Amino acid sequence: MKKHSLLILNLILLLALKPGFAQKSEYELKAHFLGKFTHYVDWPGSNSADDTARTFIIGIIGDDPFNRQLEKIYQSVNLKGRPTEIRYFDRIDGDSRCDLLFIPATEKNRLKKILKAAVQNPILTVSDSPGFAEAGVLINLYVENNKIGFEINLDAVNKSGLAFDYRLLKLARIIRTRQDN
Amino acid sequence: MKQLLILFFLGWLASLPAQGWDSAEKDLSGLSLEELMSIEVSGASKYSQKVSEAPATLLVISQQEIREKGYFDLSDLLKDLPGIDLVDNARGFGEFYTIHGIEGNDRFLVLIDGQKINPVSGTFLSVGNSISLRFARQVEVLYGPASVMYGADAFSGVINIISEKPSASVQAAAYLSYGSANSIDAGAEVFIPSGKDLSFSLMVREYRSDGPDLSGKDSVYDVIERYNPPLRPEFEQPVDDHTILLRSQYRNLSLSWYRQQFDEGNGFAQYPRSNIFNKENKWKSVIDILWTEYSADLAPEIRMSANLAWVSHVQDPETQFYKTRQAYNYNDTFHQYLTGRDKTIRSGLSFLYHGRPAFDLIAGMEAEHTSSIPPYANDQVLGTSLKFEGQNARLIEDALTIKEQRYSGFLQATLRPAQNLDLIGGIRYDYSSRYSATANPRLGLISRPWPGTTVKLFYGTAFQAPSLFLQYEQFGSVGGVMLSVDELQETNPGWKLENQKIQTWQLSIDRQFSEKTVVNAVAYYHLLDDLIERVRYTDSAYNKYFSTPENPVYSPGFRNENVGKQEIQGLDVSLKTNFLPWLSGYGTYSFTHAVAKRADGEVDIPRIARNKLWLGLTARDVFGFLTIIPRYKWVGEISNRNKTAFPDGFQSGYSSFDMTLETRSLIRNTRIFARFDNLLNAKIEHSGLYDQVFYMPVVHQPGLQFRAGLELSY
Repeated sequence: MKKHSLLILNLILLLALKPGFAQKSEYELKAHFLGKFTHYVDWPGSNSADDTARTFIIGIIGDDPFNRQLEKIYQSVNLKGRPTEIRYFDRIDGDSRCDLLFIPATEKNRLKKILKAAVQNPILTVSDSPGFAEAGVLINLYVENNKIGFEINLDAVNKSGLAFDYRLLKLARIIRTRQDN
Repeated sequence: MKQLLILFFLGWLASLPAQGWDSAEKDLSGLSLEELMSIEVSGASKYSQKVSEAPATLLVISQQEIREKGYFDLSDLLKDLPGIDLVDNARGFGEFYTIHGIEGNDRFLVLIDGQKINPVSGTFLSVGNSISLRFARQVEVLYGPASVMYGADAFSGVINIISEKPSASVQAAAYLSYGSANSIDAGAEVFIPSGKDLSFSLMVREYRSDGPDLSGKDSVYDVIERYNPPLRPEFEQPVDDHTILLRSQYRNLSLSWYRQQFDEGNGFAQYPRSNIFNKENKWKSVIDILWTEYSADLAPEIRMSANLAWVSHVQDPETQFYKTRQAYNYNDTFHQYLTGRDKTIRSGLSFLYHGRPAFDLIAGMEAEHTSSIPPYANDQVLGTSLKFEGQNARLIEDALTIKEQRYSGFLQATLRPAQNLDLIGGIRYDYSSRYSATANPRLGLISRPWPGTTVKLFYGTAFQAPSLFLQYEQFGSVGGVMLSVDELQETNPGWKLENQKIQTWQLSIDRQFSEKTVVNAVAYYHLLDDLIERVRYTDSAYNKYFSTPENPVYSPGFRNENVGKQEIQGLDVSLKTNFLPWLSGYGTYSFTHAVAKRADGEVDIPRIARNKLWLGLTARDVFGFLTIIPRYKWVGEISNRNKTAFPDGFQSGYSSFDMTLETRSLIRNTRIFARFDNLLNAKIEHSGLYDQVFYMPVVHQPGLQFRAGLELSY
C-alpha cells in the first residue's frame, strides 16, 4: 500500500503545475513540420554574432489555424540555436521582422501582396493551401492519403536567398512558379 | 525496496528541468522529418486516439522504421521492443513471448486493422514468419491489459497492425529476398483506384525456408544421425508461411479478406530423445477473416463504426507431435495428430463522441458466436491421436463441437477538467454462455504538468477466457499423462476451467529534454490470479499411450486448474536522441521481476531476463546513398526452471549484434536491402519450454543469419 500512496503523491505533485492543451492532430503535425524545416534551411548571416543574439521568429499572418499551439510547442525550444518567439501579424511590410512566416488559407486574396513584402527579407514562407506554392510560397504542406507531405517551389527558393539542404528537397514534391505570377 | 527505487527514479525524471515541447507533442518531437511524414493525420488506433492521449503505454512504429530496420515479420519487430522476452524457434508458437513478465502467446492480441487474428477458442497464436509487416502503414503496440476496449485475452498487450490505405493513383510494388537456410521471401502490393470513390488493393507475401538447422549446435541432436528408415537422418524443419490481404473500398464501406498461414517445424524446443525432427513433425494452421466495415459521421462530433466478420481458424490435419514411444527408440514411433477448428461470426457497433475540448466518449457493443472443435479432440473422442479426416473427422465433429456466445458492452469517457489533465474512466461487461460473466474497469489520468512532460497513470483489469487447448489438453509420456475430460468428470463432476484475471498499475513519464532528446520511463505492477496451471491430480492414472492389454502402465495424472498467482513489477527506460541531422540513436533498458506465488514461497517465472538492454544507431545518407542501422541487444541471466541443468534457477544471458542496410538511391524506383542477425555469430541459447513433463534446459539458436533483396515500386 505504501508504494501506491507514493505513486499517488508523485502524481498530485505533478498535477499542481502548469496547464497544457489539447489540439487537433492535423495542425499538431503541421506545427512540428515548421520546426523541422528550419533544420534544413540556412538563413544568410545566421552565424553572425548579431544574428545569434536575437530570437528566431515564427510569424503567422491573419488567422491562426494552430490555435496558439505554436507558442506552447516552441516556447522553450531553440531553433537555429536561438530562443524562439511566435509573432502574429495583421500585415507584412519591409520592416516586419520574422524568419519563418506561416500564411494560412484565409490570406488567399492578399497572397501576392504578402509575398511581395516577404521577399524583401530572407523569410521562409510556409503555407498549407493548394496553389500557394505555385504562387510563390517556398514550402506548401498538403495532406495525401491521410499523411502530410510538402512541396517546394524551387524557383522561389532560388530567389529567396535561403539555402535549402538537398535532403529537404529530396523529400519534397518539387514545383515551379506558375507563369501568371 | 525495488519499488521505492523505481518510484524515486520516476519522480527524479519528472522533476528535472526540461527544454520544452509540450508533453502532448512528445511522441512527435523526437521524430525525424521523414517519420513525421509517415504519421497519419487522424489517429489510426481502434478509436482514433493520439498516442499522447491514449490511455495506455503505447508505442507506434512507422512504416519507415519497419522498412529501414528490416522488420519483415511481426516477429522481427517484437524482438526489438522493450520489455519483451522471447524464446525463438519454439515449435508451434514460432516464438514464445513474454510481455512485461506476462508469459504466453495466448495472452496478447494481434489485430489487423482492428480485427483479432488470434484463434477465437483461445488457443495460442503462432507467429513465426506468418504475420507479414509488408502491409503495415504502422504498428501500434499497447502494453498491459486492455479488456475495456478489446475484451477477452487482451491480457499482456495488444498489437494493432494498420494496413496501408488505397492511394489516389495506381501503385504497385514487389520485392524478393534470399537468405540463410535457403529462405526465399517474396511479396507484392497493388493499389487500384477506380473513379473517385472506389478502390481495390491486394497485398500478398510468401515465405519459404529450410528452417534453421540446429544439429551442429548441441550434441543432443547427434541422435538424429541414428534415425533408421522410414525416418530420415536429417534435421528437417521447413517453413512455408504466407499472408494475404485483399480489400475493396467504396467511400466509407470496405470489404476485406485476410489470410495467415503458419506452417513451421513443431520439433524445435523439444527433446530429440523422443521427438522426431523430420518434416512430418509440423504445426500448420490457417486463419481466414472476411469482414466488412462501415463508418459514418452522424454529426460533426459523433462518429459511428460498424463491422461484421466471419473468422475461421483451422488446424491442418497434418499438425502433429511426431514422437518415439520410448526415449531413443527410433524404431517405435507414433504420430500424435491435433485438430482445432473454430468458426466465428462477430459483429461490433461503436460510437465516438468528440466533445472537445472537455469531453470524449466511446461506447459500443459486440457479439460473437463461435463453434469450435478443441485441438486435442482426437484423443478426447477416439482415445487415440488419429488424424482428423474421413470418418474420424465426422465422429469428432459430432461428439465434440463446442458452441459459445459472447456479448459485451463497453464505455470509456475522457474528461478534461483542466487543460493539463485528462481523466479517463471505462468499463466493459462481457457475458459468455460458457464461462462466468466479467466486468473490467479502467481508470487513468494523463497530465502535462510542464512543457515537455507527459505523465500517465493507469489502473485496469483484464480477463483471459480459458482456451479449449488447455481445457481438453491430453497427451501421454512415460513421466505422466494428461487426463481426459471424461476421466476427470468421473471423479470431479462439473469440472471446468474459468477466466484468468489480471490487475495492473502503470505509471509512465515522457520527458523532452531538448529539441533532440526524448526520454520515456514506464513502471508497472501486475497481479495475476486464477491462472491456469498444470497440476498433479493423481499419482496413478492409466496411461493408455504406453499400456498394452498384457502390460498396463500407470503414471502420474495431470490436469489444468485455475490455481496460479503471479506478481510482476518492472521498469522500461528509453532514450532517443538525434546526434546530427543524419545520425540518431536510441537506448532502452528493461527491468522485469516476475514471480509465481506458491504455498511454499515465491519462484521466478521462467524464461525472463531481469535485465535487458537495446542500443541502436540510424545513420542515413552515408556516402550519400546508404542507410545503416546497427543494433546491439544484451540479455542478462535468464530464469530457468530446469534445476538439473541450472541449480540456482538462472542460465547465462547472451548478446546479439544485428545490422540492416538499405539504399533507394542507386537505381530508380528500386530499394536494395540487407539484414544480418547475430553478425558476430555469438552462441545464443534461449530458455527452454515446458516439454509436457520436463523443462527443456535451453533452446539453441542459429548463428549468423543474413537476408538480402530488392524491391521495385511503381
